[in-house]
Amino acid sequence: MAKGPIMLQIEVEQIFSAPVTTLPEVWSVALESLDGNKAIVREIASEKSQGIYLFATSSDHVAGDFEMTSSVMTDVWLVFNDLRRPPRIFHAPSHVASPPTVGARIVLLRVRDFHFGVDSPGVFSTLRRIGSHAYVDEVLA
Amino acid sequence: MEIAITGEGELVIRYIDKDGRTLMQERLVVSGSPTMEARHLAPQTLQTTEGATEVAAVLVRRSNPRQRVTFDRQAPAAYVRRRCKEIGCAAKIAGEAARGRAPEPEPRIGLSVAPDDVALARLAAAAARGRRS
Repeated sequence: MAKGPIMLQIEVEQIFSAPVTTLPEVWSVALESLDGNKAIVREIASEKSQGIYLFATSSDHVAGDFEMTSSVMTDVWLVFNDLRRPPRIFHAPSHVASPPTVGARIVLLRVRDFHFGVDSPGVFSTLRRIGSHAYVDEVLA
Repeated sequence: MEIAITGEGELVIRYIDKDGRTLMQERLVVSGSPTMEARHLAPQTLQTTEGATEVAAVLVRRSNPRQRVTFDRQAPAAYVRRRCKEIGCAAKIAGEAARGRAPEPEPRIGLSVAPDDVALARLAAAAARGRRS
């Protein structure tokens, strides 16, 4: 058998009640089993919305320069039952079909975004929303 | 702390301190098939101007009752009872948290979005009723 078209999507939104000194890392995965036939990763994409207001709680300090990425780290792993066989890993963004992979048993979408922290009296207010998706076709080999 | 999910749907998780205040809300949406699985690493502490604050994760909403969710391999209610005890919550706060109750986050500074889930559910329900009639 072959699973046919497979969609994996993850969205993570973080809202904070008060200014914080660290922003926790985002680490999320979604996975689906495969039948070991021919898998083709058709698309991997991600998006991120975030704003940060960085400031100091003491008047004799000034917040330094700051820049946060506008994207998140997203990749797709095709994993085999034989763990001696290394996984095939594809990075986002990709909007063309990958070369076929035969024999993979798991497709895994991973999304990561940075932990970020500042020292006192620095502090920041933020809201973060990230989303990633992958479309994979499994067809008969 | 690991959140394990089987099946698609939306989760809303609020992270409360020992006084029952929500410091952070996470909305976690996974879409795919009913057999898909997901894992999400959730923080145990959050750093605010008051220093490192131990938090407990409260599952306040699950859009799909068929979606299976565990927090550190336990049912969310059992997990939050244990975690609340660890961080020193009063019994009343722990009980509310185990029932999936925690206050909405109230950002007072910087970015915010107004909670619209209740309004959206009402709108969708009204639209569905309209299609049936």
